[in-house]
Amino acid sequence: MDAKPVFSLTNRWLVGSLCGTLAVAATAAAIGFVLLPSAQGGPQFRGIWNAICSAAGVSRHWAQNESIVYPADGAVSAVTITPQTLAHDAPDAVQRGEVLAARCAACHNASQAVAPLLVGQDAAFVYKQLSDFQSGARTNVIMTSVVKGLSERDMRDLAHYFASSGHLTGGVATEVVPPIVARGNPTKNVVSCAVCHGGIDHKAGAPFLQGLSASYLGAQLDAFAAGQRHNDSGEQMRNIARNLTETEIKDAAAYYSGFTDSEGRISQP
Amino acid sequence: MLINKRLVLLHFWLAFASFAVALALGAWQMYVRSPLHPWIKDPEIYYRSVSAHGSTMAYVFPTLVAMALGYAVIELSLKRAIVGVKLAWVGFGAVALGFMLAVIAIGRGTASVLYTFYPPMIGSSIYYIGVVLIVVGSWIWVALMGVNLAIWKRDNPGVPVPLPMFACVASAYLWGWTAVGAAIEITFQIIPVALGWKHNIDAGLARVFYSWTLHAIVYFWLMPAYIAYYTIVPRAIGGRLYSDLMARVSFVMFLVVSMPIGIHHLFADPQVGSGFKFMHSVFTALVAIPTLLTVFTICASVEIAGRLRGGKGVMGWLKALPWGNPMMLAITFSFVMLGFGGAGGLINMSYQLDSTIHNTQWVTGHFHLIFAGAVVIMYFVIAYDLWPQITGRAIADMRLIRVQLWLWFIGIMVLTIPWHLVGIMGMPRRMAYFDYTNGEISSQALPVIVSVIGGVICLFAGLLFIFILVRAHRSTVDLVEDYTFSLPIHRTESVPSALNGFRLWLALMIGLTLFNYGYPIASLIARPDTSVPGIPIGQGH
Repeated sequence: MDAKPVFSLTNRWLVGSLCGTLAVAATAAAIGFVLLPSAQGGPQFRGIWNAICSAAGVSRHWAQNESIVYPADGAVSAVTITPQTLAHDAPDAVQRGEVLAARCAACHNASQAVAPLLVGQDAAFVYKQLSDFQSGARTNVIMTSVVKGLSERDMRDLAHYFASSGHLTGGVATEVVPPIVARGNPTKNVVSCAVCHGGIDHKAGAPFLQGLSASYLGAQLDAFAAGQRHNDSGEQMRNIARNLTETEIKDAAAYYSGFTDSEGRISQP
Repeated sequence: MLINKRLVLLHFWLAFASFAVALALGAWQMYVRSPLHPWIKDPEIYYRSVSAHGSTMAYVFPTLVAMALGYAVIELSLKRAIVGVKLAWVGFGAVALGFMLAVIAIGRGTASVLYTFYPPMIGSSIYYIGVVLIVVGSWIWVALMGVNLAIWKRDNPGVPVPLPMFACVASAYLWGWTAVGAAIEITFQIIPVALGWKHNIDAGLARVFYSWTLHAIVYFWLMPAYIAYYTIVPRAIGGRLYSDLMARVSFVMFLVVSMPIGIHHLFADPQVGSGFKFMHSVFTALVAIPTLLTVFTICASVEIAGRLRGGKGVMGWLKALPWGNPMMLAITFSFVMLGFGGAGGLINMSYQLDSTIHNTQWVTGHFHLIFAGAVVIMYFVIAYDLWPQITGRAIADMRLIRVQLWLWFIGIMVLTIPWHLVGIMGMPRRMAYFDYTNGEISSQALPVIVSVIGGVICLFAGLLFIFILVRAHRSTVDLVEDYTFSLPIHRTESVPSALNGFRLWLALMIGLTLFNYGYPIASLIARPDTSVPGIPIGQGH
């Protein structure tokens, strides 16, 4: 047995492995941090220090006209939905919400040509939309002013009330399920509507779409695609809507609006 | 002689039982997303299955096999009982409990986040707590391997550590350190969001931490196979190990260079600088050295066996090899699959070439060829080889074992070669559904169908493996010979002290990790603007 101490400069295993590792690391670093970035032509890569910083991924403005793209007309949604978002609200939230909702009924209970139905809508979704209208992340001529006076508690209570007020999802489809709803369009990286919006599965914060009017659904998808509506987390809906064809938007909207409600009526256009 | 047989046996049985179930899920997944089956209408079910398959095959099955082998090697190579058996049972309990929690969460559909659980997807906290428990259980094993080695060395000053023990401890230390990345990610980033204490998560930083674990974990899966190459195969086929020293060099090299390379999984990620990607690419290439050392040493050892059996001339020794011996078949199949898989891996690890196959089915084909192929086939023969020691019963039917190994080899090749092909054709991975009537991808239908056939053959071979073990376990108790490991050509009387312990190599491993990961992690932690909202999975009801 070799009795020499391991950590000693007389140990050739230590010297050899250390020198070998350092040589590989130094060579790789010289190529990766100096040589390769220097091959880039731009003025911002000129000089060894700039080359090293660019290769290390240092955060700085590399291009002269660089800017982060924000929606042209306002704030980004700050609301995040988790399974716990509305889990700990007051027990009298529904009753309180019902009183507050008297103001909403004039539009949301009237014709769908005026405003979307909220009966039985997902609570987290309602809460997020109210918050986004208030912060300006979502804008609407009427809603932007209506939500102004609502407190945080008001918005939560309204959400609980609408979620408990009926069964938006209980209707019967009158149209054949179109492919975009049932399985999406995988070649264009579009997931099916039904995996988030109910039917197959429901994801936290996604609205139920059954029974909403075709004109409302079509208008929202168009707005997402054009970037006019931008309060979706991580651009989820914008990325999907941009990849939808006009026919797919029409099919999805027609399918969801074709559900009967509890009294057998079909949604209005 | 094995003393704590039940400990080893239970590790193996839980490993193989979980493997059988996960294998069936894998075959089902291949089938339902092929043209042979209509759209299942619910991608959630598919991702639930993928999560169960991946979590089991990545965290539970190989970890338990490595633990079982480690405990067996302590007793068989050091010829003494394990110190800390009670703790070993605690470790096993933690893995079993963690596995149960993870399975419950996945089964309920609240953790369909795949085994990579990349944020901002957030599953149920139960799932992550389960994974943490599995890691904690395996860390107990890591500690016990180190302690048992230290005690033996104290009692045997100046004596070289037996190679099997040296290799198993290298494997344990590799796992101990590589699991730290995912453990940090889960504990400090994911679980707070899963429990609702925080809403935002730095997904880019989480991916960097996960990459710390993600690549070296595959070398941890590989280690039992390499241990079998060096310490079981030469003995089993009647040969000698060509070089004990070369084996030790290979294992310590794995320890050092398999850690600081995980960012090659993040070549397409914007949050890591290109210089670090290049560094990791270079160090990944270095893994070829211990791999080729191993191929050389084992081929030389096999040649020794052929010549000892009377083989002559340049190629004559090949004919003289014991081709009916399951171990001979397994090492051959394993090397063929390692060759193809390794060649494919050169593309994945090359910064530029990777872009042609990144996130395609090529990658899934690649890791199935290496892990399910080259590695798992060695797990099979490790079990066959140790089974008489553990159960006290000999496995009589060698023919059935040969059939099983052939089927697994054919199954994996038929499964993975078309899988690589559709990857080159651009088929993305992690998709639940493909519309093969679409003209753009209809040419992928045929290779996908061939791949399904491979999957079914694998399922059959896997079940045959379980059948062979169960049948042997239920046979009558037999007289079992003492277990021996391979002997080197030259008796190992002395090894350099650097290769009789791990201090130097652990220092290099940790140093290189900090060098290659330090800045990317520190810079992402320091940046205030990198968090995004977590997206809860399966909890929207």
